[in-house]
Amino acid sequence: MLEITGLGKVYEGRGGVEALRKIDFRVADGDLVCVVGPSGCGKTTLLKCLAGLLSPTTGEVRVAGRRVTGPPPGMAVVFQEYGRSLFPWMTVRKNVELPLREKKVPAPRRRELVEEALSAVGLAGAAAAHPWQLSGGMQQRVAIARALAYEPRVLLMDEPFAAVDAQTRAELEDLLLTLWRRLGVTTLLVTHDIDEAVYLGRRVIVLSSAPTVVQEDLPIDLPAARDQITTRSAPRFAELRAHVYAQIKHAKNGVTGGDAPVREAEQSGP
Amino acid sequence: MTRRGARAGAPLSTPRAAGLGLLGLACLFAVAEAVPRLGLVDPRHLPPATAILRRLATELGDATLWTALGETLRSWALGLAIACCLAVALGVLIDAVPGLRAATASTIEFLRPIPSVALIPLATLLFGAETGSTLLLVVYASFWQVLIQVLYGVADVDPVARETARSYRLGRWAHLRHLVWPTALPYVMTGLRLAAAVAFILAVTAELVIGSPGLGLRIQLAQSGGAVTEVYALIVLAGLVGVTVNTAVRAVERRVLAWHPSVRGEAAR
Repeated sequence: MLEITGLGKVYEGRGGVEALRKIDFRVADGDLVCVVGPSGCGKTTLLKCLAGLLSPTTGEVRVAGRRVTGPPPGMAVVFQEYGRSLFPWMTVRKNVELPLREKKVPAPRRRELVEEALSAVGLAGAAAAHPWQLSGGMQQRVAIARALAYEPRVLLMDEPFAAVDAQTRAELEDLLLTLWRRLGVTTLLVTHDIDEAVYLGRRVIVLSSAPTVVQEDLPIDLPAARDQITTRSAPRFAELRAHVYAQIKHAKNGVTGGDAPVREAEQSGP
Repeated sequence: MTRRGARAGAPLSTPRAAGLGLLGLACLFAVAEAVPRLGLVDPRHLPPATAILRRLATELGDATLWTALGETLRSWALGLAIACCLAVALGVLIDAVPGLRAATASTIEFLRPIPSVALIPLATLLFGAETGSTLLLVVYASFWQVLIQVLYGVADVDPVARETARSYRLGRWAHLRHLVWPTALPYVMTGLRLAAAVAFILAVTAELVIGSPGLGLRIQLAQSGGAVTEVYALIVLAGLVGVTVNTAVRAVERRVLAWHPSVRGEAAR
């Protein structure tokens, strides 16, 4: 569904900053992949290239086989800054509806989609409110509802839960998992939070520090049903978490592909 | 947060503030009454406040005054509307066409500080002592107030909101209608509020200097007839109209910007 081949991004300007060197990976149809990396490794740059908001310097991105040159149809993006991503002059309903109007969805179907999406995120009663009348967590739910109502084939999320408190965060993570399981939409989530990446992802892609390459592509072999308490206290979760953590620490120190920690983690596994 | 700062000054509508405001007015009235009565100023130059108000009351009973006031307000409203439409259209265009902002910046900076009253000779040449002259001055003066605000406003679109709009593939029109325009609206309203005051000043000035019909002309006639009290009465009337105009624009602003941080604090929550 999503193919990234030899993707590189150099920001023009004095000297030119090489943000991404060479990124290669694919995301299968219906998969949920988390991308983690040390801070400043170009996670957001990567996501913007995937979303067609930035054009890569080298390489290419393909969505459903078609090369991305601008924001592709059938893709929705959820940004970290929900407060700035939602339009404060529109009600919650209008915010969710706007992309559908642009997509030329007929009005009755539009109403249906908005209702469904809002009740899916538990905000059926807030349709007439303005985003700023809601809490941060609720606002991000609105942004998620907007993405769902759009019926995307690919959902990109840029640190979607980084700006909410820990409890809300856990709730939103579980909401995302529920929705993903129900809708089967191909999802790629960028985060700096290792726990979150391991908890949510079927696969975790670990990026190196800049100039960035894929340091590791790690399948997460945790049971499909995840739970904030049991999953997070499972020994395997701790191992995977420690492994990703070690990888990122290596990445920060400029060591790429350090395989010693992989073995450690693997050996102590069940 | 500069945006909020720039738009601060929401009216204090607490009873206490209103009471203090009335007290201030009462003091002004008392001073204006006492100064001529005590002989500090020759009452021929400054009649007592009660005399001015009495004169104003008689004036208000005169149908021709209302006609003159109507003329002034018509020039004001029409000029303001023309200036706003032109400024918004031009501002949006300057933002939409790449390079146009840089190309027009110096021209705008040159034209903007030209005092409207400096155009009086031109206005009289073009339109004579008619409403057209008043309109020209009003439009010129208020146009820049709005344009500058529109230019700031359209440049203030949030980058995240812009990316959101792009990723949902909003078209050019939807982008303008649903993102750029609402972002610029608070600025437009500030521009409108500033322009409304300037437009009223210029309307009266034009009538007073050029002699085009309206409140200004009436003041000028009263002055040449030596009717000092009437001059004062008309000035007070002009002040009252100014206050009304400002209140009206603020009311519109609060309605239109109910979602904006500067307004919603008192509206919701």
